[in-house]
Amino acid sequence: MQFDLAIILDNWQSLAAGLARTIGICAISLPVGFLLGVAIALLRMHGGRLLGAFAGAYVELFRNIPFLIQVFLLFFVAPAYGLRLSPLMAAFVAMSAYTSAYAAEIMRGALLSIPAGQTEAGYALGLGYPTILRRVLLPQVLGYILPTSTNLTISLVKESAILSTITVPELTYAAQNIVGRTYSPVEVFTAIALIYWGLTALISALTKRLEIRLQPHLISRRDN
Amino acid sequence: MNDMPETEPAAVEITGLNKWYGDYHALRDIQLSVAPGERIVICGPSGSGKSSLIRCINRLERHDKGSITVEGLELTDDKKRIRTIRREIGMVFQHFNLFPHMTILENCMLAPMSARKLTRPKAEELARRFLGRVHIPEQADKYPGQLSGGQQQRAAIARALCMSPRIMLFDEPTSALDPEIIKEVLDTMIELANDGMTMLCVTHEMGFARQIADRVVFMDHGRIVETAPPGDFFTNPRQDRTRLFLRQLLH
Repeated sequence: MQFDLAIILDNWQSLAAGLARTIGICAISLPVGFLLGVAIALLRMHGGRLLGAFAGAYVELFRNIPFLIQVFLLFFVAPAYGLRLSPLMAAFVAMSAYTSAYAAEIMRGALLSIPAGQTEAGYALGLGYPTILRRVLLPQVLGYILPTSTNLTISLVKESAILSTITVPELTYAAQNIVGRTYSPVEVFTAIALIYWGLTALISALTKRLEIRLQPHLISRRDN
Repeated sequence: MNDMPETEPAAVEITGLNKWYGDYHALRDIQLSVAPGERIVICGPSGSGKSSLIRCINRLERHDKGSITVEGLELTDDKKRIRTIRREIGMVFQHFNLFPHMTILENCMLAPMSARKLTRPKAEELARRFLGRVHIPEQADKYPGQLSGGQQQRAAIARALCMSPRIMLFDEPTSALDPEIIKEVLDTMIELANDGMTMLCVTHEMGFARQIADRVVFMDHGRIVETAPPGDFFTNPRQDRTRLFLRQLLH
């Protein structure tokens, strides 16, 4: 068994296009999912009985069904009920919804970990809850959620490989195509394994830097 | 102290106030009228309802019965009114509750800019002035975590003062501080009192009460047991319960 580097070099454009698509899907649906997650978390905490129950059910729904099955439901089952999405659109929706369920739980845990005194101090100063949330709670929460969010981002980037099953032309799909043409699974799958690894390693490194930037008060304390 | 002219509304007027936490009756039939400029010290054993009482005044706790009127405006469920009243009332907490991710200066500027719509330069000028008044102008650009407890509490006082409140509530402001640091916070509060601020302080610092209080309110089991000027309160308490409390405090 020998490793033929030429196969990768000959097909690098397809792989690059697949990687670009993977990054594109994640770069849009992860932020959307996180923002949706914040909304779901707030609904669950402050939405009252009905909306709170809805938010809870939403989280349970998307957390408790395998992502592959969610993708199938959206792409193969939803059309039977009149919801017809292109593979790419289905990919965005599935990724965003899945992300939001996890992000909501991360956000809720982080908000609960901030002492009640912070909110009370805001109220006592005459601030409304939206201002307290934006200026007092969320900036503090960022420090807490970054490490867990990095985890989530990395697992979602990996989960995006599942989108190949509904013919979204992302990295894994591109790889399968090349394998189909060249019958060289060893070279191609090794290559995309390395590409996924490189991508997630890059995300870790970037968020680590972000973590430091977002918590000036903790860093200056360390410097002191 | 109690007989003020009819025309000037009381700073705080509390009548028939009751509060329950579930089945627990935390405040019972509280009557308290605070004149503008008056300094009230509230003391009593833990669980007596002191904190609950002052937290009702700015609606950090919702009262269940009775009425609270702040400068002629009654506290209702109306959110806008609650915010109006909160802006007139500054509060200082036992654990400071400074915002750890903001510098001391930013802590002081947030509410004036957000709730009073001051411009940034105006808010900064205000913040620096009050940080000077609590004697920590040099700490403006530090984060709360870099300050000592006493400095943090003085920063918290400055933050409250930046909203130009007409009434200040203190909820055990020195209870979380080391004994040698307590004095610097009390000195700041005494200066504030001497400037004519209306103050309600929950504290066990009886020296402070003796020095600045117009009246001392003693609470037990959610009730006001006794209200008296500090001279009478400390030397000649009328109620047995007060005498017992003072005796325990001194030992």
